[in-house]
Amino acid sequence: MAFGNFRSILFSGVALAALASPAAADIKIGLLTDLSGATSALTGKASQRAAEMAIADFGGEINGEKITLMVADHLAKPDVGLGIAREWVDRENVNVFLSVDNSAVALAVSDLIKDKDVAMFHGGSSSKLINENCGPNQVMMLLDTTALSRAITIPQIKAGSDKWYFIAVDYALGQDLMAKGSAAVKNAGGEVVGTALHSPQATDFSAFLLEAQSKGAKTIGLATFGTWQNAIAKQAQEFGVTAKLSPYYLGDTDIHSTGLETLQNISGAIQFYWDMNDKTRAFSTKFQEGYNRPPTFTNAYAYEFTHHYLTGVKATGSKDAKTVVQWMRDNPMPLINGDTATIREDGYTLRDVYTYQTKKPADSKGEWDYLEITGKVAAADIATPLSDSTCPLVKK
Amino acid sequence: MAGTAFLKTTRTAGVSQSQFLGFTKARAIFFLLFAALIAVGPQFLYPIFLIKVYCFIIFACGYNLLLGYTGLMSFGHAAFFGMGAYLCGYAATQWGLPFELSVLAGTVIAAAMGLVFGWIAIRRTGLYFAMITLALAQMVYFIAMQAPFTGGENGIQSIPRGTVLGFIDLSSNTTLYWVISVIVLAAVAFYNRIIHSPFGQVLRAVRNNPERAKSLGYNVDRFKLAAFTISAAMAGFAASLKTITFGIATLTDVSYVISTEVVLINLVGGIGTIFGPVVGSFFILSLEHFLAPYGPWVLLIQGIVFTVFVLLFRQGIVGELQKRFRTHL
Repeated sequence: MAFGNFRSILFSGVALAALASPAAADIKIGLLTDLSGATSALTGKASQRAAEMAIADFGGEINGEKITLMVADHLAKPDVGLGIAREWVDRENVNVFLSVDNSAVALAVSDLIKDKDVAMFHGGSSSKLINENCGPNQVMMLLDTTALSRAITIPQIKAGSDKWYFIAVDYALGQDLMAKGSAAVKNAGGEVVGTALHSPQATDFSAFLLEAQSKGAKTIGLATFGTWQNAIAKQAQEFGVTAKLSPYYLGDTDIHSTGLETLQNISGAIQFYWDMNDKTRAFSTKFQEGYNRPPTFTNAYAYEFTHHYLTGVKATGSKDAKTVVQWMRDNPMPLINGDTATIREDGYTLRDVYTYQTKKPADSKGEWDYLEITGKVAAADIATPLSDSTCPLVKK
Repeated sequence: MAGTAFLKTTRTAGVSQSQFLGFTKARAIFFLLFAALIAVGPQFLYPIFLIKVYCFIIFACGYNLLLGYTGLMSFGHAAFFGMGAYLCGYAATQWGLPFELSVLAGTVIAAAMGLVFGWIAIRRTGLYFAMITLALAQMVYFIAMQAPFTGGENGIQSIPRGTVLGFIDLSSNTTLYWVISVIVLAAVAFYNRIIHSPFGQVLRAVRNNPERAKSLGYNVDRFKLAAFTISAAMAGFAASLKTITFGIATLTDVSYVISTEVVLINLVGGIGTIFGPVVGSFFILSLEHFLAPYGPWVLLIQGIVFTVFVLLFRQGIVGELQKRFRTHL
């Protein structure tokens, strides 16, 4: 009886393997994303919807080859992500990895595809990915930690918020963001009055907030995410902290779950906001035909990069990863909001960034009306210059 | 009751003089079946998945030596597994050691930690023993999260596979598969040999009736400590092989999930059996692998499996089999 179970498991495994064996000539896009964890609200199923929209723009096929989209959950764990990626490369002949929205997972996959004919457009932000880990077949969709730090600090320092305090989550990414943020503040002529690391288990941040207040900070940089960030915003309000909060990562979805009431004193920088102009609004309407909320910046990326990649496949008539990615570099990438972006040889995407301020609850006209776009930061002002890159692909 | 069990095992061992390396006929047949399964496996299943199963077999064998044959339930084996993985990865990337020495490094560190943790934990038995091991493992997890050499949430990445003895290149999945296959067969044979050696007999005596073992002149604590250390070393060895295969060592390897998984594998396979870890690893890892697309449902199904086995098949799959065939597998 029990042995029968064991055997049937094996046989069902065989059956599954047979089902999974690929039809040879498809264009395969592997969306490796977070479907269950902390960033799943920002990416996950919504990014799948965005990628499907891009595929639909091409009628689901190019030069007679069907475009298929595979989706899997990397659980934000590099070992899980790498395992799935390896299997997709070995057994599914995947052509491109999309999303991979976690620096640790992106680093692991970047290593895997180094000498393979697979492209990757990842949502990691570790600067390593455009320096020593760069590759001819991979592109970074987000800003790296250096650019992100500059995008947040430079405009605010120009506007007079020159005293900064940083609260960072105590692991590698948080520490990296804090170090880059401090450097950016100093470079722009500001002053860092203090820093604090919080443990991933922390729920009480009042000591940090009061310290920031007493040291006269005008802005508190939040090198942290999700629930920690929400708790900090809530406690800042309860303690009447007057300094502005400035998060590195704040999605519309975070505001939606926490409420504008709590998050009304926040400013930062974002690459895409659905209510920015007519083009983004049109895209958002179409997006919502298949999803229950407007697209976040990460969803916009998934669409833009899939679209640009498929255009490249069509133009070059090839699925060779290096050829298509080279084409993507040589040709400007149209963005949803009407701008264009260019991809550098180190894999960094040069695009303008918009500064925002969260709206007062009274000014918000609807469920997803949260941000006020206040200005623009030119791509060249925040990107690490190529002359500083350690990426071997950069010719100096 | 416990005393009779001890006598019975002694007698079985005494009667079957013909066994080779601790293999009776039944066990030899099962071993050959396993070898045949390994030989045809890659025809049907993804070799990397099979390698992962084999690594867990080695890990679970080591654990069963402790739980099934010495009667000590540890909740801290993730510490040995995780640190074995990290040190193997570190040795291969930072010190540039070849395959054999990296794996050896991972095994040795796990054994050394096993010696220290065991020395602390064996002073207590039962629940207290389990709690001490759990506490120590959580401390190791915290260190892994904070110490710079583990790479935090990124883990140690880009671990090269290297070559065996300088001429067998492991970068191809097929070659790696056959190398690990030979290793896992050797490990199961080694495990079987330990259990059916005089040393193994004493371990079972310690499990069944520590007072009586003591009165016969055996230093019970020393045998427990030896079993704990061997068990930890096998965990480190398994983790090192897994690290080399996947090219990554991460916080997952050192998290408590690993400790519970190895308990579950043994429970499903059969605690105190030679082939329980083999069957259990195939069963549990297949569940995880083939149900992965259903996300959180895996945990629910694992929970149901756990409950079903505890309620209906307390001896595990292999335990039920050996009851039916009236033999020891």
